[in-house]
Amino acid sequence: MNPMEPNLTNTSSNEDDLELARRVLANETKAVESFVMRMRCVGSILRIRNARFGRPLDRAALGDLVQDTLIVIWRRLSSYEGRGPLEAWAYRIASYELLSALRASRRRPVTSSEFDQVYAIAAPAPEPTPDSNSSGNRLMRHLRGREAQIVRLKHFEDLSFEEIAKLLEVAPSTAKTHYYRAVEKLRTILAPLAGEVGT
Amino acid sequence: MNEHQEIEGLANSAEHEELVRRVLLEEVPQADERVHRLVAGCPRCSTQLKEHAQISAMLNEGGDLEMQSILREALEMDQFPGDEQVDRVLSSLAAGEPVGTLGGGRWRFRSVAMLAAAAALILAVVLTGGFGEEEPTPERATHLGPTQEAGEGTTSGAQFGPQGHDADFSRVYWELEIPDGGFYEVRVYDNTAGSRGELLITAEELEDPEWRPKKMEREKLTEAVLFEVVCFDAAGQRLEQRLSWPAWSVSE
Repeated sequence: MNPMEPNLTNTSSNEDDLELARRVLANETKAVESFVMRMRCVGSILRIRNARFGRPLDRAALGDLVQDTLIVIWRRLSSYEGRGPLEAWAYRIASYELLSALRASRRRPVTSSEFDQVYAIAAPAPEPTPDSNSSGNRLMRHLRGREAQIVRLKHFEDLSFEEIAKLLEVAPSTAKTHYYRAVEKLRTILAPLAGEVGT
Repeated sequence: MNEHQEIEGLANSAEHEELVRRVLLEEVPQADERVHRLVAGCPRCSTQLKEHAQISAMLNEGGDLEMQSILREALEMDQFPGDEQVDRVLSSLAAGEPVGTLGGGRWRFRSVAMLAAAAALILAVVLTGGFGEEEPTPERATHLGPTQEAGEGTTSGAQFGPQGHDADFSRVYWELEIPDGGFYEVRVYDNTAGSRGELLITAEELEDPEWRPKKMEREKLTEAVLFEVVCFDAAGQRLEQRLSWPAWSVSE
């Protein structure tokens, strides 16, 4: 990693961020100011992700979503455990809120193909992104439909099976069944891919 | 052909497979004693668990890279669209202020200050008989007039206006101190019942604590509006001070 780049996925220790969260919860003015500055990325994250999805949410809806996400972040701050930087923690929350908003905007069950369309699973991204050729993304190309959705929601959005089930309006056991099948499918094709993904 | 090895407590292949499945689905932790025995005693299951872990790691890596890519893009933006919204939402939450229902990402807050101001306004109306017992149910948008002095307990003891029953609404003023070179911005939002708080007017870079709307601007006002005054320093940085209050017109 370039030493100048922020380590956004540091999973070792984020004591400073954890301390910041504690001070924010204690309502220390300076800490709140710092936290507000750090969370400015939330609006941008949601805008970027919405753009990558083909802008399914209009500006007003996106504005509402930013506010709703910030409220969730604020309410959940006490559950932040410092397992990653605050921005990464906020990213996960923002992702879930975005997906929930996409579902809510439909006001009816979303079919697999519709969700694929929104979620850019079935079709390749219109513009290549730096992450699009990762081994994980290459594995994903072998999956389709519900299995692809669930694997992606599990590993790319870091959602629990309960959250995935709620989002897709299926039983948690159904989500687990699809996931297990998908991983088993990937396992059977992993050997021929071993040389490719190992590089 | 059964390729599973016999392990104490896991009598058959179906039990092996069920345990492997439950580990993958995070129903049984890797540290569980049965998993240790399975890994140690059944090469087939051990391999399967390793391959599951390998697949999970690759997929997680894909997710992490995607997150890093988006976070970098977000953090590297010179200007964050909606910064003000983030500041306002979190600052209000930190201050324990309630979140309201005005939507559209434009103005969704009814701050304590605003509610207090609204209460003072209603009180003043009752005391002065300005509106009598009339509900603010405008039939015509004749917009306001005389100024109102906020009572004790409202925002910063500030004076603000307009308020009242007057078609000659021509000036909004307030009392908020800002540093030399600073300026004010007035925003007026639609506050009619059922509205989404649409921004109607923005008056920018006001050096004095007042705004005199032009006729065209007055015509944009709806029956019920929400005034907001935001303060900036000379460098254009938004300051903490702000004031907001509702106002409405009445039919003549």
